[in-house]
Amino acid sequence: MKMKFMLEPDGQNGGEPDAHDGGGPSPSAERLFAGLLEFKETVFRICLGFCRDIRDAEELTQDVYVKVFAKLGTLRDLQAARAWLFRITRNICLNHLRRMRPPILSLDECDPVADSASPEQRLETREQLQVLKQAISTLPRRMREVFVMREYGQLRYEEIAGALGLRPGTVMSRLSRARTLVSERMRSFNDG
Amino acid sequence: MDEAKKNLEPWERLIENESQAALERFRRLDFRAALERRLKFVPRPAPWFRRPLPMAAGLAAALLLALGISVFTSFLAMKREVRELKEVLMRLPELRTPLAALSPVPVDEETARLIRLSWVFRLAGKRLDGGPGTDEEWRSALETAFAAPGTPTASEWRLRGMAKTERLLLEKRIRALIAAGELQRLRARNKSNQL
Repeated sequence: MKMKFMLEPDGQNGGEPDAHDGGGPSPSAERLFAGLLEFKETVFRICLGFCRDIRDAEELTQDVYVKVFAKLGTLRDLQAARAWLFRITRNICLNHLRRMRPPILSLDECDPVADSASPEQRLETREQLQVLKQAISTLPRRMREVFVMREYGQLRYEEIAGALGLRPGTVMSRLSRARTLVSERMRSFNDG
Repeated sequence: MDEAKKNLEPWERLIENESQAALERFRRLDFRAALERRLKFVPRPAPWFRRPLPMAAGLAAALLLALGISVFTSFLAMKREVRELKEVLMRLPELRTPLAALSPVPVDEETARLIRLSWVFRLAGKRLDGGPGTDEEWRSALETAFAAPGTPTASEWRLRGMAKTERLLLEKRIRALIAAGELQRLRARNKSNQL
């Protein structure tokens, strides 16, 4: 059975009235869902940044869209829905971390090191990655969420501000402090 | 873009490489198919008319209901009061029951009735705002009427148990009596009796 939301996104959903009265999502809601599906990689990257495990990130990305689907009737326009999408991504990831403490650090599933790298380079990169993950996971929560959304999700300041209900200035200052902390920790590891 | 990549800090490059590697794996995954499988077990979103009411609408409905109940209760209370008033009006002749026997001093029936009315009025804690007769005048009227020390006890004046509507009705009657100069007449008569 093909799901109705598999419609091609047209990006033209501007909060038009929902005239569909039958069971299931209306055509406009389906278009909205399809539009939100375009951000799945961003959602995945944010999940990865939070949970530090690629399989969990995949699962969490699905969780996010399952939740979006369940709430489709309450969404109206794509702009507001995008901010909401990133906000629930953050919430789902934080809930996951709360349940899964201590965080699972899985490095085997995806190896960022090129195949051509020598075993020594490979080992060093893995160590650095381990330290980076530790550095991120020990950031204060408010800084961590801004850091992950920016560095992993590559969201703009305004988007992060919209998703977290903050002012862009606050986002910038938190991000700056988070980046400084991460840099310091990485530098101290490299120096040591 | 390349220039920007050159300026990346080592940890930023690490994040970028890690994310790219993870994304490659993610892209190989048929995300939509996987999501479809999960969505089969998710209840379809209900159409708008079957969705639960938003909190504001629920609150407004509850307020309206409370208001409706209040209005209805007031209406019932008003109906009850009118009925009681009618009963009182029907029993008005009973108020002429002689109280002379209960009074510590001999008084005629009319005086006793007025005293009883005024006493009832005082029990209701009412003041004749803007009308003739203050509390002091009422007390004076009572004292003059009895012309003897001591005030009637509750058991003597059985009217304590009167309904509010009855008291209000009596208050109206007392006002009328005062307006007609009844009280002054009583005072004068009692005074002349004392003399």
